[in-house]
Amino acid sequence: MKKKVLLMGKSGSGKTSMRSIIFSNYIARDTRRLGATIDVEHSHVRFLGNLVLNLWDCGGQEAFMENYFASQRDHIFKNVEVLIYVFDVESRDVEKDMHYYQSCLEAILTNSKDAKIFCLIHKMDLVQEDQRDKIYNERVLELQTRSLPLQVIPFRTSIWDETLYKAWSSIVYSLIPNVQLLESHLDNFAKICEADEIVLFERMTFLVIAHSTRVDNGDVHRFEKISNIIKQFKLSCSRTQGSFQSMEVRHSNFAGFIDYLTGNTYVMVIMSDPTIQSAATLMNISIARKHFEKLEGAQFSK
Amino acid sequence: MGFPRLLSIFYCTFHPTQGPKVLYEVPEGSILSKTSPLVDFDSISEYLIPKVELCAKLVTISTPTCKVIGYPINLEHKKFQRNALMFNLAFVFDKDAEISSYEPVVRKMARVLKALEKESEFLSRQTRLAMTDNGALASLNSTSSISVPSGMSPAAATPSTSSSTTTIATQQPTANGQVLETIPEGVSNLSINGANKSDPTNGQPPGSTTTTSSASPSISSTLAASIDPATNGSAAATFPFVSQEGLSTTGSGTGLTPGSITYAAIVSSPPSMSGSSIGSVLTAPPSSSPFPLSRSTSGSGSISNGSTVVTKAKPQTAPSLMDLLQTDGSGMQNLIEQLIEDLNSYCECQIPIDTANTINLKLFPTYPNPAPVYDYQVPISTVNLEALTDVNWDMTMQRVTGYINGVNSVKRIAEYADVETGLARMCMEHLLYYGCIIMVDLFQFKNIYAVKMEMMRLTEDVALQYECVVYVTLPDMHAPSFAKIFSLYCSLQYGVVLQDWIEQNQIADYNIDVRRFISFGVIKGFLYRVHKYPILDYYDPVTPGSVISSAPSSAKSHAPQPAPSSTIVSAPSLATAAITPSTATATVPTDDMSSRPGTPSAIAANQKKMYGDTLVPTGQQPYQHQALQQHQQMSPSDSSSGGMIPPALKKRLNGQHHYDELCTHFGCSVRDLDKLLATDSRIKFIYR
Repeated sequence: MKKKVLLMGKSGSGKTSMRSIIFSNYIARDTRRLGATIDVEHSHVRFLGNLVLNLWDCGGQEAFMENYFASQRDHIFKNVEVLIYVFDVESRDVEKDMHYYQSCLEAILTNSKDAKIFCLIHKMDLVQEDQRDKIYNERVLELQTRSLPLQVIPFRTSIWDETLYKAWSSIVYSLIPNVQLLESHLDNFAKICEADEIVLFERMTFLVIAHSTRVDNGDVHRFEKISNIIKQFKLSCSRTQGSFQSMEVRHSNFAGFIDYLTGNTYVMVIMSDPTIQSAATLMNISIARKHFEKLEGAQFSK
Repeated sequence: MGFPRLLSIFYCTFHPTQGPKVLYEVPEGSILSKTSPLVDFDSISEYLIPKVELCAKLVTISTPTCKVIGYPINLEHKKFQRNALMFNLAFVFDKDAEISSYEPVVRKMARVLKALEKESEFLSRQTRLAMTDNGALASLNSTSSISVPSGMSPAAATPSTSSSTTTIATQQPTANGQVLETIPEGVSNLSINGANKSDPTNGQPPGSTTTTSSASPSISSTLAASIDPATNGSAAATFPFVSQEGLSTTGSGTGLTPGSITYAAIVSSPPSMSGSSIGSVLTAPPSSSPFPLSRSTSGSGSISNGSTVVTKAKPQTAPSLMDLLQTDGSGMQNLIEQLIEDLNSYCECQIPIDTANTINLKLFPTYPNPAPVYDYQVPISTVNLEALTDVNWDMTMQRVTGYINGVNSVKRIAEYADVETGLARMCMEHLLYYGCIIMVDLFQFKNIYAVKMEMMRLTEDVALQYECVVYVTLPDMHAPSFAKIFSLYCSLQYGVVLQDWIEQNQIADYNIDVRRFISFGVIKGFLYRVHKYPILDYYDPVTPGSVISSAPSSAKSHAPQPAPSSTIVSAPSLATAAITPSTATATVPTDDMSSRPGTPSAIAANQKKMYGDTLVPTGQQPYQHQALQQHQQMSPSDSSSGGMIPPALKKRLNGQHHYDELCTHFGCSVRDLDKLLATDSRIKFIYR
C-alpha cells in the first residue's frame, strides 16, 4: 500500500532536516550539515511492513515553487494523501509564505481534494519561551482563516524537542489504515495485562502509532517525550555497535516494559500494580506477539 | 577554422532562496532576455544545476535551438549558507555544432573557477555582488535577522545611519572569535567622504533595519548562542552571508560608484592571498581563518580596519581580474566577455587572474584515437618534422624525431635516441594522432608483399602514377615507364620474398629504389606486407610414441609400448638430476610432456616429422629425447645455441606474434630466428 506524502514549505524552513531526523536516524545536530534540496527528493519509507510512505521532499526555492504550480502541477499534486506544509516561524516575509501556501492549497483542491493537510509551525525553539504560545496561536488562527474551506491540522515543532515527534506521529497515525481496530485490540491487551497504559510504536522511527490508556498519567506530552527519549537512546546504542532490543524500568510507583511486539512495532507496557511480577508481564507480551503479528498482516490485506 | 562558434557563455548558480538562476551572461540578453533568449533557462535548469549525482560531470543539453554544455560543480563547505555552493559555467552553441573540441575547455574552466573559489572566494563574492545588484538583498538571507551584532543596541539602527548593521570594527578581532562584541556601538558605515550614504542600493527602506532590530530578542539569543563556542547554535550555520546585510561603502577611490554595494571592499582581503596584488586593494588585516568575517564562532573575525579599507596598502600594478572583482564585482562579467571574444576570434585565450595566475585555454581539434603503436613498426614522416620542432617541444619528442627516417623501427629509434621504449611509443602515438607520421613495417629483403584491390586505383589516377614514378626511381637515373612499374607491382605475390623477386625480375635493370618502391605501395595502400607467424603445433608429435599425455599413467595407457612411457617419465628425473638444472631446463621437458595431449588420431594426422616415418622403433625415441635433454642441460636457456627454444619465445609461438615482432623483441635477425625455430619440427608457419 503506497501513500503519497508531500512535504512542502519555503526554502530553508526545515523540511529535509525533519525528514532526516524522523526517517534517517539523524540527530538534531547532524542536520546542520545538510545541503539544499534540489527540486524534489523522493524517498520510500517502509512503515509497518506493508505500508510505504512515498515521501516527496520538495525544495522550497522560488524557482522550484514556481515550477510546482506551473509545469509540474499535476505531477506533484495528484494522488496526494497528506500534505505537510512547513512554516518557518522566523520568516520575515510572511506574505510571500502565505502566497505560496495558498497556491499549494489551490493545487491540492483541484487535484487531491481529500488530502489531509498538516501545517507545521517550525523552529519554535527560536522564539522566546514566554512568547511561544502567543505567536503560535496567532499563526494558527491566520492559517486556519486562510485555508478555508479546507481544514488544516496545525502543530508547533522544533527539531530540538519532542514536539517534532508529536506532529509526525499524528501524521503517520492518519495514514495507517484501520488503526481503530488496532486500538481496540490494544485495549483488550491492556485489560488482560492489567496495565495502566500500552503504547504501540513503529520500530524504526519510534513514532507512536496507537495507544490504550486505562489510567491517565496526566502529562499530555508523554508519548512524544518517550518517542524522543527512546529514539535517542536507540541511536546512541547503535553508535556503540549495539542494537537496542528491550528495556525494563522499575520504580516504586510503576514498572515500564519496552520490547518488540511485531517485526515492525514496539510496545510499551506500563504497570502500576507492584504485586505483578515482571515475568508475568513479559510473558503476556510474548503471548500477545503472535496475535498482533496476525493482526498486522490482516490489516494490509485489503 | 573548423571550431564551432560560441553563441553565448553564462554563469548560473543555486541561490539559497531563489533557486537556480543565471547571474552572468554574455552577450547581454542571450539567456536572460524575456523576449528572445537563445534558450529557456528554466526548462533546462535541472541539468545545469542538477542533483548532486550529476555534478563534476560534463553535461550537454540539446534543445531544439541550441546545444548547451556545462560542468556543474558542487562545492561543499559549511561557510556557505546551505553548506554548499553549486555553480555551472555553461557554453552555448548551435544545435548542430560539433563541440568535442570544447569539452576540455569547459572542464578546465570549471576546475579553474573551483580553484579560484577555494583560494580566494572569487565566486561567492561575485555572487554576493551580483545578487545585490539584482536587488535580491532581502532574500539573500533567509535568516536575515541575525545581521545585527549583539554588541549593537537597537538604537543604533536609526534610519540616518541605516547601515548600523555594519560589522566593521576598529579593533582587531580577538582570537576566539568574539569579534562582534568589539564593535563599538553606533559605529556607522564607513565612507570616505564621511557621508553616510550607505543604504543598500537595492532600495530597501531604512525602516527595514528596524525590523531587524525588533526581532532582536531572538537575534541576541541566537547570536549569543553562536558566539559562545560551547553552544551548538543552530544559528551558526546561517551565519554566512548574514552579516553582509546592509554593508556597503561608498567609493574607495578605485573606481567604485558611490552608493554601490561593495561587499568585497568591506570584507577583508582574501585571507590566503599572501601579499600578492589580489590583496592590494584591500588591506590585509591579520586573519588566521581562511574565510572572511561572516563565519561562525570559531575565531574567524577578519574584520578589516575601517579606515584602511579605503586606502590602498600597496602600490598597484596593472589592475588584474582579481583587482577588478574586488572593487566593483565586474570580474566575472569581464572574464566571460573576454572568454567568448578570444575563443571565437583566436580559438585560444589567456586571461591573467593576478600576477601569478593566468587562465590559458586553447582549442584543439579532436581526432579519433590513434592505432596502437608497436616497437616493430617503422614511422615515416609525412610532414617536415625538423621544420616543425622547436625548443619548446617536449624533450623526449625532440630527441626521438631526429631518428625518424622511414627505416628505423620504433625500438631502434628508442635505442638511438636513448629514451625508454614506452616513451618512444607514446611520442609516436602523438605524432600519429596529429597525422605527422604514418606507420609502415620493417623493410627487409626477406619480406613478402602482396597486392591489394586498391591497386586498381593506380590505373585510373594519373597524378598518382606520376608521383609513383618520381618517388620510386633512383636519383638522377632514367625513369622506367609507369607500365613497367605497374607490372612489377603486380608481380609481387604470396610466397615470393623480395630477395627472390628482385632476382626473378631483374630489378637492378630498372633504376628502381626497391625500398621506396615498396613503401610507396604500402603508404598508398595498395600493397600489404605478408607477415610470417610461427606457431607451435602441440598436436604434431615428433614420433607417435612421443604422443603421450601428461599424466604418466595415461601415458602408459596410450603408449604402444610401455618402454617409451617409462623413459619419458624418467626424463624429468633425468633433468632434475642434472648437475645444473636451470629452471628452464627443468621446465622445458615437463612442459613438453604436460602439453602433449596425445591421441592416436593426432599421431596419424600430423605426419610432418623430423625423424621420418610414423612408427619409430622405441629405441630411437628415448634417445632422441635424451639428446634434446642433454642439449638442454648443457646449454640452459641459451637461445643462440640453436638447440632449444627459450620459454619466453615459446610462449609467443601461438600464431599471434609475427616475425617482425619476435625479431624486434628478442633483438635477433630473421635468419637467427629461422634457425632457432627450425630446431623444433612442430613449429609451423602461417603467412597472412
